[in-house]
Amino acid sequence: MIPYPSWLNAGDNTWQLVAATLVGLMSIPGIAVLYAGLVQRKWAVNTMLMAFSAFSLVLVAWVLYEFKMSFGSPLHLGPGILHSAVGRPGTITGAGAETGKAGIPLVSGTGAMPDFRFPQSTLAYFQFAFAAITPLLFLGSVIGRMNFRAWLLFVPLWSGIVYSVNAFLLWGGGWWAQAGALDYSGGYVIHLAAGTSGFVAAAVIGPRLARDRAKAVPNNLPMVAVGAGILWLGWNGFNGGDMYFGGQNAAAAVLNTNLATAVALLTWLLLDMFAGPQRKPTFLGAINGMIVGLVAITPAAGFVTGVGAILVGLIASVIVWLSWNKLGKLGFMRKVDDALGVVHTHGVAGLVGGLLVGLFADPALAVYYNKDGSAVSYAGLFHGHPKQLLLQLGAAGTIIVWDALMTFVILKAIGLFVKLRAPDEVLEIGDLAVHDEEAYPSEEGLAVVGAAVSAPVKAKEPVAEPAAEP
Amino acid sequence: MKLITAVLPASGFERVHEALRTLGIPGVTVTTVFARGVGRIHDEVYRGARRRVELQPAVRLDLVVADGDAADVIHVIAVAGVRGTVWITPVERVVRIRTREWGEAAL
Repeated sequence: MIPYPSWLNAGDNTWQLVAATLVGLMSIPGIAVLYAGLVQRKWAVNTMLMAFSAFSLVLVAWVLYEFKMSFGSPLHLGPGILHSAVGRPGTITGAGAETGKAGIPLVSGTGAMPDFRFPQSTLAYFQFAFAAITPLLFLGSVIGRMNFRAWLLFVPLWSGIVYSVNAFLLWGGGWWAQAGALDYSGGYVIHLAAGTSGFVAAAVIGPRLARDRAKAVPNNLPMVAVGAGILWLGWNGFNGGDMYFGGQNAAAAVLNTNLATAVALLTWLLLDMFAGPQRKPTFLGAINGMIVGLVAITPAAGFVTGVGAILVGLIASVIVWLSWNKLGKLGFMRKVDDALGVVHTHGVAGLVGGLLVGLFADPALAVYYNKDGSAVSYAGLFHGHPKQLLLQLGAAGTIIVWDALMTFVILKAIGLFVKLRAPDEVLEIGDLAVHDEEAYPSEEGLAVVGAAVSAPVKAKEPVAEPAAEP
Repeated sequence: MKLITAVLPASGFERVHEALRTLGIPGVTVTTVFARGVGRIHDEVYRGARRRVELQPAVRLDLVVADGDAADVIHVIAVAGVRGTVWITPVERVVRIRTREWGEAAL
């Protein structure tokens, strides 16, 4: 007997499953508790349930049709980009589809990368974790007013129509991948997509109650710390797994990811201390900087050197800090109620990171190796390949236009059947009105309704007047 | 001098507080309490077990005012608030610790 076929490598398969699990942990509990801690006390339950239900919805959609739309054979819809923009939908629930060797028709069979050394279910689960976290990220834009039923419809539709195209174009061997655009781990496919879609969704659904917007203080900062920490370390799987092998490039990507994140966190902290409105270091500012670093290094992680990673962290943190503190205060930005500022920390940061790949991608950094031992790598403008920057710009433009347009269309279509925004009287109360649950229930004044659970109280002797002093 | 005490639903408290500030009342003590009759009674359900919340979080406001102001303050609280209760108790003596002022001068 042998445990597995000869094309399978236990090390690569193990790392990929661990990486996939790390990415999954970023969603639940990572994003769930990060956002639950950041929202008003009355919305924590709603936020967590939206996260957990979206995670489940995407997995079901993923195995039934979406994985094939993202990584399957192309569906030829027309000339140019339409020729390879999305895959043919199909299931991956059969024995062959789960245990057979992994493959992406337009990528793995074409000499663009080495043959996979793990089964299709590993690839599918790993990529699912990325598909799942994307709606969870833009959940931060629409919390505190989106109708829960509309969310249950929006997530599978958005994921099937928008995300699968993003993924196919850049990772499934679609038009932008063929052209040479790079997205190491989802700066565009995930973060630019989440920032764009979240902003549009926030505009279409409408703002929170004015009183909620004015009083939107976070309810639990230690919980934010827990979620943020899980995100940071979970990102080792996010960026460490995307070249699909437990090799030298995964190791460099993990180190670069942490380096850029540390630099971005410190940059934001120092900007808050010396240029911010309060001139004080703030915890939530540092967490913003951390997320910016993680997001910005995502499209670049294994394409740049350590120096590149430091520069990506520094530049992205400064730009997003300005976007958050200056651009975010402008009239048209304030009109759209992007509750947690996802458009800055994910949209702008993902865009900046993706463009910086076009500058800093370093051909000395081996992604794979040719048979003769020479490195397979990529070069940006600073390494003699200016066209890379144009490719990065073009891919970003495609993602922004497609995601904004389709998010708008999907929400308008759902709005014909279900109210996108919960009624004001529900918004006044929050979790209790939507779920009959609250995040921090009080034990005061509770009475069990229905079956009697307490023993009947035995009648006591009446208290007698004390006898008069003799 | 009079001690004015109000127990108000947490959600309506903001408006009352704002109104008192507009009136120029300098000091007020606010306590979070649980009370019955300040809000709608609702149920919470955890894992299928339904519980009625009969006591709701409420805000208790205490402020000491000069005899002449008491009626005005009560009026403002009643107009700005929606639900809850407000009552007046006579106060014997007030001392401002920092300045050692007594009586109405200490308010």
